[in-house]
Amino acid sequence: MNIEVKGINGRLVMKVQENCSYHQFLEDLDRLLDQSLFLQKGYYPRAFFDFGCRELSDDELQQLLILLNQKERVLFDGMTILEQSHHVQIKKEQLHNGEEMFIHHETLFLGIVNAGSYVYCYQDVYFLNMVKGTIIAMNEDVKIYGHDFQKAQIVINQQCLHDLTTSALTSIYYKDNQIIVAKEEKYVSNNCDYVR
Amino acid sequence: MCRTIVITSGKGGVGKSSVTINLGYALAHTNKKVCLIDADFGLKNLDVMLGLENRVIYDLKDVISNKCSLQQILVKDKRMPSLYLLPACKALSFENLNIDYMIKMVEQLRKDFDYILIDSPAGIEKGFQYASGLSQEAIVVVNLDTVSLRDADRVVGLLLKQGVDQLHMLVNKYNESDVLKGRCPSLEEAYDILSIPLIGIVFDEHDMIEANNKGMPIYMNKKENLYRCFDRIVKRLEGQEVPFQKNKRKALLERLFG
Repeated sequence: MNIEVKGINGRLVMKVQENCSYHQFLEDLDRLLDQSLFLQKGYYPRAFFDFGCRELSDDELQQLLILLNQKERVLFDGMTILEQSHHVQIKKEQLHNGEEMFIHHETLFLGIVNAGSYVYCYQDVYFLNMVKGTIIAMNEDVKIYGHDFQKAQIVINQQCLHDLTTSALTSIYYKDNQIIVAKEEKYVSNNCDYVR
Repeated sequence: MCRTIVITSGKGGVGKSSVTINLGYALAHTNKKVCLIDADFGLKNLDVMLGLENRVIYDLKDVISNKCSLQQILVKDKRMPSLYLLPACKALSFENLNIDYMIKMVEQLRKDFDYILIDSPAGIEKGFQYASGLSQEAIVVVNLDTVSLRDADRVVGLLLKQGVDQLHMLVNKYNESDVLKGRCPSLEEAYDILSIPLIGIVFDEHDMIEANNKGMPIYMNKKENLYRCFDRIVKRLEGQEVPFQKNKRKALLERLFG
């Protein structure tokens, strides 16, 4: 079950786990609303949906409202709305094998991402150090930048890019149903000219 | 002031127990009072490797069930008067062990010893968590192979999460020739992965296996090069800056005829 239910201030707050797919969330909600708590006649608790840093598209919101309408078990009492922030946060820690990190804002990552570690990105991330682990973009708009990928795994929109190795400034993004790896070779040569 | 150090690795077979024993000997050789704790409950090893198997009468289970005192289970090594072993017991499992009890026991031992070395079991399960919960300092033993380094990296992450922040890397079974020929990662690569300071290297020697099998720690054999490795590790633990031990190649005849 990817939904945690808490009663806060006379309403139910449904906290949705950030790493589950939206489809899975809807299935879980469907099952949750069939439980005995929601089957009392004449009792319609208010439900607030906490999606964390997940941003719902219009279609996704519509699917949620249709489900709630069909079930007729709770009253929709709102949901979290992401505040638009333009601050770039800085993370310095090293990620060790088996560790996971969720990045919710645009981030400058200064630490090393070791093999076996996972970074889940909801926003663009700039890696300034070695990346050997797995970077998972949680939506197809996320862009990943770095200049030292060593056998890194990149996952965007359930497509995988295995063993990415590059020492040039590289941007990785999703376009036309595929992962694009753009190496900025001009940047390297321009830089060398400048040094000379 | 007593220092409690957990010797851990993640992967099994890298040489945690032999490092614990020889480091204990090297520390005791500098007149420090040392206690070795075998935290591998259910699979006791240190008493066998120290040659003290037949001298173990009581074990931790007897202390827990009040059959004897903590002082009574400590086995003194007659070859090194300031070295003691707290043996594990085969019958006790982690489910029956209370971490608070273990912490109190270590606190009690800290009053009597200069160093307490805890030999952690392999893996990252309950045994490792128990052992690492007893100290703020750890030596992560690695071999220069990818699997060992990956596992050690996982262990470093877990130790940091548990608040064990004084971490040292010890490279065991170091084979210079393999490194030079590129057969295995180098010391620099190991440091890049773990990002913790190197406390020492111990060379890959067949004599170590023989010593462990005979219950005669290699540190006692002053003809061997290995004892110098442990001496230098002790110096670095004490805060001195000493260069790493160079591996002296044996003469041709010695290599041919032992």
